[in-house]
Amino acid sequence: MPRTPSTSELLPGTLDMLVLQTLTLQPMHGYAIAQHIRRLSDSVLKVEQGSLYPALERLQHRGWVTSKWGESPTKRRARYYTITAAGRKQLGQEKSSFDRVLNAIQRVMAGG
Amino acid sequence: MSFLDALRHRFSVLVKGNAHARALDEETRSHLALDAEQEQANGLSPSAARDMARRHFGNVTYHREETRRQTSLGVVDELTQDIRYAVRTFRRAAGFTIAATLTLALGIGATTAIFSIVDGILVRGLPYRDADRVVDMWESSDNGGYRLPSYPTFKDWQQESRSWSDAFEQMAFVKGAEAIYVGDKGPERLLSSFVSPGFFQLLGVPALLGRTFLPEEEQRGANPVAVLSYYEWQRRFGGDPTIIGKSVPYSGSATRIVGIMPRDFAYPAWSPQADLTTTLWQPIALIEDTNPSLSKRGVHTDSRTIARLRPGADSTRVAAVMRTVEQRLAQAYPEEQAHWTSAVILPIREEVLGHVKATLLMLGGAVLLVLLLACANVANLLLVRASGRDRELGVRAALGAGRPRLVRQLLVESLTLAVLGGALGIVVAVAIVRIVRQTVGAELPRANEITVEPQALLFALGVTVVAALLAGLAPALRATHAATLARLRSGAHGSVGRRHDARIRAILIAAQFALASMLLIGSGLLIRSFVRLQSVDLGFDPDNRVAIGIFPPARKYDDPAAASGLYRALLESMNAVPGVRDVGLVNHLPIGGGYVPSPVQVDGRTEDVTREPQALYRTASESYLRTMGMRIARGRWFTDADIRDKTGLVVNETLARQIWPSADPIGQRVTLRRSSQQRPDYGKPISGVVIGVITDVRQQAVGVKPSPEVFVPWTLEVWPWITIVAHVQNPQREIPLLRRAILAVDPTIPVAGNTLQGGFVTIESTLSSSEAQRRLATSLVGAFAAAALLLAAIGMYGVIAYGVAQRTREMGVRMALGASDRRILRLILGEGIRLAALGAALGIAGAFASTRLIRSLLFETVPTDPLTFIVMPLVLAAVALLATYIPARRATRLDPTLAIRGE
Repeated sequence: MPRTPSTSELLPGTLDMLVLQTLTLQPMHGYAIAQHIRRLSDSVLKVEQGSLYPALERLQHRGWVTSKWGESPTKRRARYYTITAAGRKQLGQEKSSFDRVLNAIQRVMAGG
Repeated sequence: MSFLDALRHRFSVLVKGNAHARALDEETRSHLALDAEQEQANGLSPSAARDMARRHFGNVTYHREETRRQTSLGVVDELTQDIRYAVRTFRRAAGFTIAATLTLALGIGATTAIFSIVDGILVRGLPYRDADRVVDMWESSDNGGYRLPSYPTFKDWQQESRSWSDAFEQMAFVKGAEAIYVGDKGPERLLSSFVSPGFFQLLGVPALLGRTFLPEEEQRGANPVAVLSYYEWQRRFGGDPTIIGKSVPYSGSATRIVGIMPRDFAYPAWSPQADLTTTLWQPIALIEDTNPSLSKRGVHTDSRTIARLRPGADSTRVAAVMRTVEQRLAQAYPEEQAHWTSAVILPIREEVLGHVKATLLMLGGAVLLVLLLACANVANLLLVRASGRDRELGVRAALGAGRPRLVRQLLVESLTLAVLGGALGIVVAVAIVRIVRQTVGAELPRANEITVEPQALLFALGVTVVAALLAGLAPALRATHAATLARLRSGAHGSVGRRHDARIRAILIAAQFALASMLLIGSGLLIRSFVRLQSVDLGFDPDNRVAIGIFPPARKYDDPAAASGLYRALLESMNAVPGVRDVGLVNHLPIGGGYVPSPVQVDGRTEDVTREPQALYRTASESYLRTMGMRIARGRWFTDADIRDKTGLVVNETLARQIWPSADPIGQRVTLRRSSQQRPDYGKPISGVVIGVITDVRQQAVGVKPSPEVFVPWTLEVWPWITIVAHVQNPQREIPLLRRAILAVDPTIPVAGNTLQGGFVTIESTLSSSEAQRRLATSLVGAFAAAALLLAAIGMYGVIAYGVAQRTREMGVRMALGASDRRILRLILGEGIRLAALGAALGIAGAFASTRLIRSLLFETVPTDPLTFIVMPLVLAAVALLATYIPARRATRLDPTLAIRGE
């Protein structure tokens, strides 16, 4: 019986890219980032909190995002993340290398 | 500005570590709340929504740690966590922590203290460049005698050595002399050294301040200059650096100070006593014309000849060169040099440190044993603790802590322990060093200057880390052993690997007892030697005797008649001081006063000259025997008439036995040689008839057997300087009065010193100086042995107590099955005794193999002294029994029902 995965594990190294891409829309808090990714991928990509917050910490550490405390529309205190210029640059690099890899994979799969 | 953003982020983590952690927590809470809001909007009840959010989120703690790990500070973070955890667990196990810390403190402290002492005495005693190539040189004769070369001989050597440049780089000569400084207490006699050009370069030590001599200052006729010792600079001038270039009236002539030597530089130490080292160095050219003894080939006193060998110079080659040189001199100057056909060459290390090396090496060995024992003890304690924590560690492993993390945490624990112990150990070291300084400071070379050195601190740190690793690694590895963890995961109860552990602990305990018994036996041998020494018959009575070396000012008393007049006047003046019972004269005081030998030729016996007996030659007054409390064995001592008529000789029992084993010595005639090298009639024969035999007196040290000795009336050969002994009622009261009595006779006589060389000392103090080293060694090794015994006992107690606690259920079963108290007691005691006996047996074997290394430090005690080898292990057994008995006793008080129900 073929297995039909309802959710898919993220390809290693793509979470950072997804988070940065999401943040290009607008500053968001962690929960919103996770929701956004899940919605856009039709629930195929599910971001675990266990990797989201470490990833955000890592991105801050590298200077690709910054954070500020603010208020959610429901009047809740939340930390809002903003992509920096360096983050955008990084995103560009990651996207192009990801595209290269994806193309390569597709070519291989088509040939098989 | 991504760089700045990143920096700001790191900074906030670093500086506001706690705030950062709080922010992460708050973010988590906010996430949960947002999620719950969403779920509630989807139609769940508030509490169900909260639960759902939590379920979504997963393990909060794990996420928090994961997030924090993203910053590079993660490791530091975990380390602080480990340390905090270690401190917390230590607080919970106070007994263990105290025992382990004290053990480490003792081991580290003792090691640091001994290292400081060895460093202060051994290492800093030799501040010379390439000290291994600096040698002392003596002439040696065909029949095995040796003597210091005269100044003319040195000049010949120096001349010759230039053509043997494959052996020698440089040679230098030092002539010891006195300098007088007139201070508040009257004239003070200091020791000075007149050095040949190149002396400082040879030793390779530059001045601390100023400089050493310029070539023009080392020419004849130059103005007097001097380099001061650090000690003199501090004591007299308070370390004032502006003294350089100033003139100071040493020996009545304005002497310009050109430099200060470093503190460690003290060559030559004319006597190993701390206060007898050189005070100032001056160019030998200053006295070359005025000091008649310098130009004579026959003078072999108060000098040193040193050389620096070529790098890689072969010692047999050097000896061969010197033989050639000496044989040439023996032919050229048959009168002075005949039979003196070779030279003895010794590393300078031997001259400077030879007499303390054995003691220091023994102390080093002893302290090493203590350190080993301390490490074994701590390892044992950690092992006991680790096995008690198997389950805790297992739980942590099950929760996902990796092996490296657990090992690191255990290592951090033992390092924390070691740092605690190390800090306390430094306190212990300071205390030991202070005690050593206070007890023997004045009597051991440079002991006054011993402090806990920065290097020693580093050493302690090194020892600390090694001890921590040694003590911590084994338990850490064992506790996290994969098999152990696997068994823990399977839910096994109780301690894992108990049997294996118990064996290691037993081995460690036995090792501790072995080390302790080695120390105990060594200390026992030293104590026995010490007790034997206390009961030695000195042959004289040291109580309430004071002495001073009288050095008459130059020229005024050079003539023997003038000197004799001075000595008589001094005797009279000092005798008149209230509280003085007797005053006597002698050239050399026994123990610490030096000695000079004379050949003893028995009339009517024609013997080989080189095999004539030698006797220590003393000139003494009529009152000397009485003043010193010496005893006559046969015949009589000198009377006033003997002194006046310069007749009669008194020998000691050893000489009488040696020369006349069966005949009566009284009335026998012997011929001696005049022995003062400073007199022109040196070596001329004097003959006399034996009138009495005295009971042997210890001459060189309390522990050295008496040598043959002969006394002549002091008037027969008036010594150029003299020692006056006074038997008084109260030394502290009479010494100032005696000083005044001397100055009343001649105010230029040096009396202000604090050694026999121109100052008053009590005979008691000369005795205790001569035994200072032994006393220090005995008390330190004794203290180490006691500490070792204590540590071993603590270790034993810990292990037995732990064993009893672990076997509570077994004991309960045994008791329930009818085992009596007595049987339980015997069971546990037996275990302790077996370990102690095994350790003691090993220790006895170790001591048997190693105590001969300290043979030279023992007195009338063989290194395998049976009594010591029996008594000390018994002491050990008694302590072991006690350490076992306390926990064993507790086991018998168990309530069987409670014990079985427990766990």
